[in-house]
Amino acid sequence: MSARKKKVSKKRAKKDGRARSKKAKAPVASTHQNTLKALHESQKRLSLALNSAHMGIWDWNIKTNSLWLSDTVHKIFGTSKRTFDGTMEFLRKLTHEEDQKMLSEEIRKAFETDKKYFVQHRIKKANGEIRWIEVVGKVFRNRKGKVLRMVGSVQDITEIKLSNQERKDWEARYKLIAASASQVVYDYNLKTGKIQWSGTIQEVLGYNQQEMNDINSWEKLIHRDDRKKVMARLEIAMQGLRPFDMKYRFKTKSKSYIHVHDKGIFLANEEGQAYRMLGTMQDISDKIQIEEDLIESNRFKESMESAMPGMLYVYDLKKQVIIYVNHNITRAIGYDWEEIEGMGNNFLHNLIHPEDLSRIPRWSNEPSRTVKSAEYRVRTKSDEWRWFYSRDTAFQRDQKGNVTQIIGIAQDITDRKMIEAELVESEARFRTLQEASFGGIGLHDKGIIIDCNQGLSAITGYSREELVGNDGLKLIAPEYRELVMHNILSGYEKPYDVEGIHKDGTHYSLEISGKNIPYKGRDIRVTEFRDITNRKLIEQKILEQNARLQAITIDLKRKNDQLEEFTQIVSHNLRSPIGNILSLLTFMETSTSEEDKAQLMSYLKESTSNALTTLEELNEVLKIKQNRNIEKQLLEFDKVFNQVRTMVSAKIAECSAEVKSDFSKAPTIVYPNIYLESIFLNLLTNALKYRKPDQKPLIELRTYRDKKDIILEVKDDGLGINLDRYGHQIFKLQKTFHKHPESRGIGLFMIKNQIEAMGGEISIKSKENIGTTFFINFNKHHTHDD
Amino acid sequence: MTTKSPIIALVDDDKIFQLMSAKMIESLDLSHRILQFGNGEEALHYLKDNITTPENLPDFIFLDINMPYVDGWMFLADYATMKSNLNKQIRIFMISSSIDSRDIIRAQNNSDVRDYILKPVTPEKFRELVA
Repeated sequence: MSARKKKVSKKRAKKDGRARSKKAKAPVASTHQNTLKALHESQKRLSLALNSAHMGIWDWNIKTNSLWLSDTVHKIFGTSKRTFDGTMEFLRKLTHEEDQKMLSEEIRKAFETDKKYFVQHRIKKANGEIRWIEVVGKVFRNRKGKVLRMVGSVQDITEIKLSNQERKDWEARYKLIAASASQVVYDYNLKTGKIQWSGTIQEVLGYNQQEMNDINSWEKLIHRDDRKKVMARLEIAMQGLRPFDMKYRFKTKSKSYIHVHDKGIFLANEEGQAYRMLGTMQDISDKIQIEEDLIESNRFKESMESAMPGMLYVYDLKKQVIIYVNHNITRAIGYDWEEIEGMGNNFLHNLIHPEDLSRIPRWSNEPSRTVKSAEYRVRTKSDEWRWFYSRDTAFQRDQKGNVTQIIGIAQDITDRKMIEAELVESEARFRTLQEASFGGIGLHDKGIIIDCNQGLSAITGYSREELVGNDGLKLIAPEYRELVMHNILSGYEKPYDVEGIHKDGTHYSLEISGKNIPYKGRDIRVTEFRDITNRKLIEQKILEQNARLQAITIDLKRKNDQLEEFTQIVSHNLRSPIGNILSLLTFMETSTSEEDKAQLMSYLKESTSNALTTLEELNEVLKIKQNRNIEKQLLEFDKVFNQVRTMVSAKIAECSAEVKSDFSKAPTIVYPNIYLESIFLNLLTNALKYRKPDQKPLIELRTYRDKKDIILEVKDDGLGINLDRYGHQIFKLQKTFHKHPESRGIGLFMIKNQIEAMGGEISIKSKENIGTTFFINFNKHHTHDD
Repeated sequence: MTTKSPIIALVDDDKIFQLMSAKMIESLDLSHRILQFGNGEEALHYLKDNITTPENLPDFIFLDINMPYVDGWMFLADYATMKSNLNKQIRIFMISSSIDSRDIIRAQNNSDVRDYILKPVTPEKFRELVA
């Protein structure tokens, strides 16, 4: 519309230009009556001048009915001098049919009235083109007043004529619209500032012509908020001579504002400056209201749609295409409407997860209000699967009542799905853990069991059915219930030991630990039961094992000591005689005297014999050490002791010793016979050996039990020994503590080895001049028994 | 070299060692006075008895470890208590067949023991010790 108006204004500018040139070269006809020649010449000159202005000259001799036309006229009519027959009839034929009558009338008028001939009419050019021409002419008469000639100019005014016509149409149109649609037409003269209003101004705006006859009064009535904008737009339109089209609020006589639609155009003067503003003002308040309502409702719809959490869609079941979807689709899956539309009936296969296609609801003739929901995955534009939950209902049906289109909403439930999956997983995990646990697990609300695992049944003896819904405190011994309840209420989370009661009423050691957790919207407690009877037993066993290990360690240390001692014995007791032998041999080599040699030889024999004895003794000890599995038998102390006593009866008699024995408290022992004999023999001879020289010795032997151990006590009233001084040496090999001729120190060392090899222990109590008591605990170290 | 030859005490229960050692010392002319004790007790008694006559106290004691009744260690323990009363500097060497490291270390840790000598002792060793 505005583009066409622009065109129009351009044409007008063109026309104005032509108009100016036309005015500047106004036709002037020579009026020399009798000098045709001169006339012709002047006509020629003129025609040259007029040629440049595209203006033709014609000369019509009425008397001879001959017509002369300039070249330009031929151009205008599209004729040529060669085809021209020189008659007016020739031109008349080229005149538009509708104008011929008017033309004849005008010629007649000109002949009669002597008025200046001025006609605008249409011609039909030789090529068929319709053009407008403007013909100006003057009639020449003789003295009698008879018309002789008619001379004039002709100009093609098609362009001008058309634009004028258009303007007329335009104005007519506005006037027509104004009349029909509460519109006022105005004509504002920019130079005078005056405005001419069409007649309907009073009806539309309430003012009369006088009240609004200048631009200022109009301007003041524009709404303050719109005024600046309106004036600015008018200014632009005026500068560019462009049509304007604007809406603003305008104050009517009744002081109320109406919305007006103001359309118009600026007209330019010959200088190309706007001098008139023509336009219409229409009250469009009703339209504005409707538009506002429309915008409002659109906005409502849009906001509704965008406020909707999911995609709203209409799906055609037959065509299998989405026929509508709201904007949310872009936000939801990344595609816009065009892309969805482009997918056509591939929509479902393109976007729905193949595994989920079967979840899409099928429709037939379900009753209205049927809602079908589904959950499925949709591939987003970024190639990611997201879960949607849809609710569809029938939208359109065919004549048979079958659903053809559905409308639905699909919501993204991916987050929910993930949480659900996590929940399921964690619940499964929880249950697995529960079942896998060796302990019993119970979920309870202040003692009342909500759920429990198999383990709790196993521990308590109650079935799961018996447990769930019942008071878990009944599983605890009464004296502990207060503590347990206190821990439940305080949310205590560390394990603690109580006593449990089985279904059969028996008590057991129980460790319980609880933890408060949120579960399905409630804060409940998970309590684990652990039967620690076994643990307690194991603890006991560990303690025992520990004690045994300690014993073994001590035993090993003892063995190690023995071994070291043995090493020392070997080192010392064998080196000594051999060292001597070496020295003796050296001397013998250097000795010259036979007497000396004989002496050395006797020493050599003694040393060799000593070495041999030592070897035999060590061999004896080695045997004991190696012979740990020596055969044991049930022995009677009394019997064994009497045999030994017989062996040394001579010595006993010699020193008139009194030997007393009492084995009644522990009469028997399982022991190697030779060892027991050796123990009795060595201790008895030892006691006899270290008797006080001036008194009859008293030797007392007895056995008894200390717990499980069998103890043998051998007590004498002999010389005794200073244990502080010699205690460390007593059971060593070849240690003697008395300057007694028979002291060789082998006996105690030997029996010590025998006793220890059998897992026993020998110890001594002694006081100088009071006597000595040996204690043999046969069973001190149990580890090697069996 | 002192004009007066040193007094040497042999404390050992091994009679053959006593004899051989005395023979060696005499033949090397290391001493003209050799004291012989069968165990620690006898040696201690001799020292106690001669507190007032230091000229009778030995200059050297060759002490065995393993002896009946009072062994070398016991002798050293008692000697430690009486040495301040002895008006003579006595050099004690431990002479033993024991190659037990515990014995050797124990001897080295005793400030009264000059050295630990392993049997058999050669004449050269005696000369070195007494020189």
